[in-house]
Amino acid sequence: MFGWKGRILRVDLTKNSVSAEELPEEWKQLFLGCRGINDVILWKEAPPLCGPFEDKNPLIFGTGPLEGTPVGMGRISIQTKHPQRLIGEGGAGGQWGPELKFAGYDFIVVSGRAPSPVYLYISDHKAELRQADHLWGKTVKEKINLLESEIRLPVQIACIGPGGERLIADAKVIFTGDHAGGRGCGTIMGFKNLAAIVVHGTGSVFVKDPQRFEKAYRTFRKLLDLRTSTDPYVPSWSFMSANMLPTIFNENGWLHAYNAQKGSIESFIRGEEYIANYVDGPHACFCCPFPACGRHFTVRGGQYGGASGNEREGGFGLVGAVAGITSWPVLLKFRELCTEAGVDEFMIAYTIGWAMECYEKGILTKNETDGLDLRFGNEEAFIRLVEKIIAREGIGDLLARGSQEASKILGRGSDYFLLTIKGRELEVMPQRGGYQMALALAVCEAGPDHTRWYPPYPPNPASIPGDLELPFDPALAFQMRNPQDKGRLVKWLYDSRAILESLPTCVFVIRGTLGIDMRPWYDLFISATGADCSFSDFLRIGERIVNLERCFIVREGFRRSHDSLPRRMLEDPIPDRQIPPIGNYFQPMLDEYYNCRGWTNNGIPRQETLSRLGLEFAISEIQRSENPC
Amino acid sequence: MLRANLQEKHVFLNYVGHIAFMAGKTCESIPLGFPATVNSLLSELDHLYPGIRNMFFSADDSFAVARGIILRRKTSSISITDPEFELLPGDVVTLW
Repeated sequence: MFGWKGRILRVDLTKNSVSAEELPEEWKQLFLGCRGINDVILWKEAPPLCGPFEDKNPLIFGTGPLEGTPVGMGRISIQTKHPQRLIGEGGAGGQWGPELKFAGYDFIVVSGRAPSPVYLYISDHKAELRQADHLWGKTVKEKINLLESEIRLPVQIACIGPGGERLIADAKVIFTGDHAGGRGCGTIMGFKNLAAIVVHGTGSVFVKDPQRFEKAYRTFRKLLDLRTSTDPYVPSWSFMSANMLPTIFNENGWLHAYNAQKGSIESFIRGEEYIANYVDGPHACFCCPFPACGRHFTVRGGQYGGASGNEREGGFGLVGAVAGITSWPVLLKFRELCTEAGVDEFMIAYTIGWAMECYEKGILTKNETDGLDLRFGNEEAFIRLVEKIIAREGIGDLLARGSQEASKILGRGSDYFLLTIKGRELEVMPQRGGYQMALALAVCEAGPDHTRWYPPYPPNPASIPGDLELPFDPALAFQMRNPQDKGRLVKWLYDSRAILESLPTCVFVIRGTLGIDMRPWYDLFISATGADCSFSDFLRIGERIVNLERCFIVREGFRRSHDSLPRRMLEDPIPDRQIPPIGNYFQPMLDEYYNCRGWTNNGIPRQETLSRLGLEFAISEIQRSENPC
Repeated sequence: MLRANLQEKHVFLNYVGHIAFMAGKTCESIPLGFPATVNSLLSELDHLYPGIRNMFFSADDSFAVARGIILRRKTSSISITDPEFELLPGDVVTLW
């Protein structure tokens, strides 16, 4: 078999059993792999009657046909029904995905709940559950060290930290090398008492036509050449990855500074400072063409001396803005704490930013913050609060539920300051500064996840080849604060990225024309798998995936009113850059998006849309769905 | 007074990513003869950092197709897409 391995590993934690089954051919044709096939498994196995914290809620780890080839970049998709009843999905890079393929599996579907902590050990077509009491309560680093010394083979490990064990909102799964993904998936993994999945694989992934694949791969790499690429991010990313973003966001006024009350901060952090003073060396994902994207860091000296770890989204420093934090040592300590606990930096920082605004406005008092002076920019209070959230101690227990749940408990008008969509915290992407980003975040079936439509803009129109037919006008779509054509652009971004995340590949290499011209990707897919799939069928797969995801959340009760933005984005300007609120522009953009999708004005896929996409199986359930959440 | 006049005839520059590597620094303020445009600024910078101008013009002389320029003037920011955009003293120009 080429590309796919053709096997799903089924794990029932309640019955303490593992078994393998064949990957259905139809799923490969209709949903490709990775995120797409995870979706169809989730649709079938997590109906509305199955709550997120029920044993039946599946936790799925998926790879795709190009995983294990240089195009896959180590990407996997983790998926479950999120505690907010959304699609809980997130990708991660590293080496774990290829290792799973090399061990002989494309997917792992975990159901049930173990009575006590266990871990799953997979080694070349064999799998077993092992007792894990000795791992429970340990940090990620401790878990990985214990497992590596126990197994004594080269392994790749996916595990949760204390955050997942304590059911902290949006806890993540952390992989060997501090790769992380799946906001909320770590919480469900903790609920299931599954401490880790350890994989050892010595197999290979075969491609159908190696010569054609190599040629297609060379074309792909040429499009990412920093000397000739048509994308300004390529040379910047090649040198310093997302670390150029703090300056770019700050200059544009795109920061969510002080809980998005402002768009910039005087003397904000600079990526160059981080590279010069804290980076020890590169730390890349499997076969990544941008090795500078990931790095190992160490803080030497000072109050946070000794903080260390790996990261590959240097842009994580951007989250400091929401709490007014402008110190690299503090942000690197924050990163270390979050990684070791397996919690999500965005959820933690935005929840603290919300709490800080509540504190400064007198909604939260010092008596309620365990004596912490939660003013914006208070570095010690920031770090102490992160520790309290991880420990679920004092006010940390309230904030560990996430800002929206905390606001429901606190009341007092605190909901006005929430920066959440569908109950989940934002992920630093600007809304008032880029309307396509606002729309894309609002309509996302997985909460405000920026990776499902990233990169968020077409290349400069002047660089787009004339023979490329696009379903949107790049000149209009390129204008960040012009609401025109944003619906069609966002549809394209979602559909194309759904394909790429199902092959899979990494969203951060979708640069230049690779983001708008799907032909190189099609060539890679066909040469690797030999699949009988026309180019138009290939393009339709992405639309099918997004529609199935929409059906999933519609079935859970989500409607148009949930496809919205934080009030601040709609009503408040960014005063320090004279950027107006989105205001009345938002609803027409949403109308355009629904119209071009073939959805009703309530955000529900029409019957003819689902039929056209081969999703007839979802029609009756959508028609029955009358349970708004 | 002299200092104030000098400040008035300067632009402030941020160099990001690979541009910072070319310049060997992340920011500076440089004097500029006004009226000035982005084009003339890049020519001036090319004397200081040879080759930097070519980073912003492709082989067919298209401007900023594959690079980014952000201009901040007091409290507003815009992306520059026209090389003849006129600069004013005190502007903050970010090149990346």
